[in-house]
Amino acid sequence: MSDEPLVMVVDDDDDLRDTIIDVLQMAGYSVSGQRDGVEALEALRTGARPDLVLLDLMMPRMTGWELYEAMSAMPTLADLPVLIMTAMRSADGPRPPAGLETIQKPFALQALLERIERRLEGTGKKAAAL
Amino acid sequence: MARLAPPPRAVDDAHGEAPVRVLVVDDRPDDARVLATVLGQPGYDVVTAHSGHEALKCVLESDFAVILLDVVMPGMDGFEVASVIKQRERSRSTPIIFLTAAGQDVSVIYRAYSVGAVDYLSKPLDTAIVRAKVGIFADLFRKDRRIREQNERLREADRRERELEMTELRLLSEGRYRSLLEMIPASVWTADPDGTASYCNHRWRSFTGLRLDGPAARSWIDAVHPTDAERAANEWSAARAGGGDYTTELRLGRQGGAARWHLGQVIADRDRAGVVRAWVGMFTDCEDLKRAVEARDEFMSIASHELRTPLSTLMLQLEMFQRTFARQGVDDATARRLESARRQTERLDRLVGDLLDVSRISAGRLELEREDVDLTELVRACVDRLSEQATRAGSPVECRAANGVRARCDRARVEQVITNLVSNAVKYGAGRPIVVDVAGDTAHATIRVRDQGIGIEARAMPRIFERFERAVSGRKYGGLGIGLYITRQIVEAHGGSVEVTSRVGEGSEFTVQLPRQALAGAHEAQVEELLPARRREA
Repeated sequence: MSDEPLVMVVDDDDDLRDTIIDVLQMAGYSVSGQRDGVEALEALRTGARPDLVLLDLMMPRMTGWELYEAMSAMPTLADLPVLIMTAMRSADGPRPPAGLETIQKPFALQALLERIERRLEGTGKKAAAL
Repeated sequence: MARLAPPPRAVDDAHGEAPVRVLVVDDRPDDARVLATVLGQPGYDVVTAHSGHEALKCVLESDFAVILLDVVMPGMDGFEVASVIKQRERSRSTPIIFLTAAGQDVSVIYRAYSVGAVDYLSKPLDTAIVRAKVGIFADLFRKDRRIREQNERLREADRRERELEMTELRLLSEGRYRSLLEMIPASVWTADPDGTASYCNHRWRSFTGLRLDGPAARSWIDAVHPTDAERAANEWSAARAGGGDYTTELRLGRQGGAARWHLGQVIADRDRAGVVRAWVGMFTDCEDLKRAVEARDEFMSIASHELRTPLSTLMLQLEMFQRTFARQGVDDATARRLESARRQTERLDRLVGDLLDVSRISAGRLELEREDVDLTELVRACVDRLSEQATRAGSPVECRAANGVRARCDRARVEQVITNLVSNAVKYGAGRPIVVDVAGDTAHATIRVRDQGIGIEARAMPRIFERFERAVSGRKYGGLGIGLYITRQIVEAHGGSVEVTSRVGEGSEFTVQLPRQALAGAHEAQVEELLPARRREA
């Protein structure tokens, strides 16, 4: 099953993170979950390289913005596809890093799967159909 | 011209008033001298002239009580002199007594009267008669002069009294104005038309610690926080250069403390001709308000995160259940309950979204992300999405959309508008059919939503587009009263309009008009302003 795309879900909300992991596993992805930027960065440094990072922005210890900056500064991670999950609309406050794909919370299951699939286009990775 | 009598303006001893002037005009020096001698007594100031020209010169220079004018003179004769004197406004009423030779033809006397003479004296002159006749006119002149002087004095007294009253009134009103200014809880200054400060109230002095009146007068700009000072100075000079009244927001430096935000109003006090008499500036402390707005914005940002995260989980979990059950098979009742739970979660999401929209709108942060949108398709999709709910309510929605009506608009926002209007039609549609149509001309796209429901009372119509306003009782129909408010704000932000016609018991029709091309309106400019900022962040 090494062909299954690996998605890293970074969100501090345990229920939401676990739910997304369930959803993605059901859709045929390999998934790892991290609860904040610090954990995620550690996993990225030492663990398997994911094909996509699904990233929440507002998290304790290290926010999504900070993690993204740290990744951008690392040659091995700078080109890793990222999909931001945010509850904010563009006008409400600190914006997601410009030029990044975002998906607005709350999202429907189908919408999430479609966005992930689109984000993985060109990487040659595709989840096995259910 | 020679003067034999006392100098002019000398006071007549007998009457205690200035002597009256008498002009004697005679080309024969002897005759003139005799007359001067005859009249040379206290109360008279006799001026003699020896030709018509000289006489006219005297009349130009002074006012006379009476003129004794010889008829026969070389050059300009007495008649010519008299007619010139009578032509002049100032000397028109000066009495003229002609001097005629003995045995003069009576026609000369008639002519004398015809050019305005009041009397005549024949030579050789009878001293007593000369004195008597001149005396009459001198008395008349004195009386006339006294009346004129009295009138003048009265007028002067009257004028002074009125001036005094006006001054008192002005002081009183100024006093009241000043006490008012001293009391109000805002910082106020006044300045001359050229911008020189003339006054500042107690609060200005105590807050900024800067006196604007007195010898060491400074500009009010000196109290503005350095960061805002240049902008404030530019606004202030633009106003004086002809811009007139303006409002502004700036930080005023506080005596021994941190600067605080103030809302400023600077207005020109103008006279009736519109010329600036003075400037008045009033600055209200809005620091707390600003803090509150910031706190609200922060709250919004947190609330949107905190409310939407659990909603995300709920929505995904419910959909997972639905998928699992769809695979494994489940009884209809459970499927229905699950669908109901999912619908309610969506509804909760919309409510959260609406509340956040209200905050965004009041903060002036409703942003549009325009793209080319097929409105026909969008309306059909919305109607499809709502059709199940509508059918349950007994109000099937018929969509009569012309094909391919397109507009440059924010897809999600317009979808929100259509959803709001159709949901309202279902909610208040009294279980009767609803029609939605879409049409377009070259300039506008029009979306109409018509129901045959309970309708809206005429008196409620003006306020249904206002925030938290509802046309129906909250006990019968749920809702926050913000749907139509948001609808109107979104439509207007697009440069469009929304209108309603309705009859109680017959239904309502809402018409939304959107410009097909984005117009460079005020709101649009505001959005454009935000866009480069976003690019810069990248």
